[in-house]
Amino acid sequence: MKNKTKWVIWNFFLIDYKAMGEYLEKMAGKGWMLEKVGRSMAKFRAMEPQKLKFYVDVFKEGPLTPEKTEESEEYRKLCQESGWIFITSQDYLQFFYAYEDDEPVPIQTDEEIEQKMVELTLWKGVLRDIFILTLIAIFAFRSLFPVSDINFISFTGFTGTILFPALYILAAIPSAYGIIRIIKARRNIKRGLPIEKSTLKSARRRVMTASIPLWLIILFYILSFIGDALFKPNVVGAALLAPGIGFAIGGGIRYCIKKSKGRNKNGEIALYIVVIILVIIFVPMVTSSIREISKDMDSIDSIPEGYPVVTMEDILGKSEQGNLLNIKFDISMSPITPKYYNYWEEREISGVNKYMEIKYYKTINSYFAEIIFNGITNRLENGIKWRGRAILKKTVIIDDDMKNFWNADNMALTEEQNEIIIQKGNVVLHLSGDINFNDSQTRELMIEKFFSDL
Amino acid sequence: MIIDISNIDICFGDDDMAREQLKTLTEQMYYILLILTEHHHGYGIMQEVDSRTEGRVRIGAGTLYNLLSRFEEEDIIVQVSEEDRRKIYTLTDKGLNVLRNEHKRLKQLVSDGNKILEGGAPK
Repeated sequence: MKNKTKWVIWNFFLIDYKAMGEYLEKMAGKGWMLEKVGRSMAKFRAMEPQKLKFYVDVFKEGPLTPEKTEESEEYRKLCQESGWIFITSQDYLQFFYAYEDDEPVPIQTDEEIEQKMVELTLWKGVLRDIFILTLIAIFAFRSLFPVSDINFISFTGFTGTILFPALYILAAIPSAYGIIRIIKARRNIKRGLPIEKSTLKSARRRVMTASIPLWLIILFYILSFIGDALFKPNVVGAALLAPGIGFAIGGGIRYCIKKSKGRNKNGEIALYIVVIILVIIFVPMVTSSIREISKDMDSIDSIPEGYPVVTMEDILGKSEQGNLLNIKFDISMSPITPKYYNYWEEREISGVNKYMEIKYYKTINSYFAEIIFNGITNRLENGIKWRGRAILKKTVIIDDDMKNFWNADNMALTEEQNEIIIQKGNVVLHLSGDINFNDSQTRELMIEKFFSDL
Repeated sequence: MIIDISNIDICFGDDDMAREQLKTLTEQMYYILLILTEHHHGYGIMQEVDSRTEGRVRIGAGTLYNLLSRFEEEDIIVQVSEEDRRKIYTLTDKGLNVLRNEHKRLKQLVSDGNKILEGGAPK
């Protein structure tokens, strides 16, 4: 029994710190003593069941200050002398216990002063959360919105598009709830009313309300990664690099701070600057490497069954096909786009290298096909952002004659006429390369291959 | 018991924060300052307050820590030495003034109360 430990989910809101004490008393009664508290898990050690009193107090030093500072040691010593035995700390919270017979004076005996301390630390936490969430939002929302074809060709893209806003809101709930409680407490103090205290029951209800959807979303993300990994293990591996590097940097910095002995008053500001610099350096690097890996399609000998593909040989005929240099084929899917592929072919014809690329999207209905169509045309028009400037912008023409010629619902082509985007029903086709799109034989071939079943 | 500290702006760290002069002390503040007319460390203050008030006023360690930090920032108390990793504090001249003013105010309250409740109050 001595070494038996267990981990439990610990998702209490900071503002519910009073309820944590109540919870710990229950656990001690069942024979489990708190040992360590993390951000979402707490570690308990087995002991003889006993009645203990717990006190969870809010202290001014938080996650970005070392575990042991002169001030925290002085504070803990004072608590220890008054009968409270220090267990552990987590962010701004300090955990103490005492034997029931000792009857020590509560650590906080002035409700208003306690409330001021809670407000101060909570605001620090809220500002920190806003800072982190804003950084994440800037990068995530920029890559996810406006919604384009990229969002709908993978499980992760689909999950991110649909669930990231919900995930963002859920992550902000504890801070928002804390602010509401602060406002209520201030109002009560002004009116001379007692400050609302969290009960274990209400705290648990809040944890469940916020945690269940959060864990469900995380589960969806994990399933999406698994789904994509079946198609593109290399891309998924690269995509995991970003959060992996993020966790490593964040965890490493936090560990160094917690284990450092002194306390630098400007440490927090310096740390934020370091984090911003690291984010600015690493995120674009990781993002661009993911994009590069994503583009790296697999070279193949033959096209898998069930994918309608038109080759250069089909278009040009055997007499003009020249020498095949390379064929690449890449498939993917999502709940919105059950069938997607990217086909790339390169040939040497009469001493000149020519290529053709087909991107084929078969969606669940024409609504999403239209979103994909608009996404592609917008991307072509806006080009690629590089060093604050848009490059490789293309002029896209919506040509009604061509639309009728192809018998399509939506149709766009570039001014150079080397790229064409066609949407008909639930299928979108993005063709580019050295193809004459005005050629009626090519058109007939394409229509028959891609749109005959519509 | 309701103690009015609404006119006291408690701050715990930022030196440049606007501070309001202590005008009215809470009971706990008053007793801390009273005890610090002699040199004492934190736990000593808690024991002394408990003993002198016969357990009527008890100050929690967290509350005491916060108040000592505040008083030190306001130059109401000063650390005079350190023994066994315990900081020993005493009142400054400013602190003594704050305490005397509060004592005077409390005496006035008692005097006014006496006039009304124990006779002698003008009708």
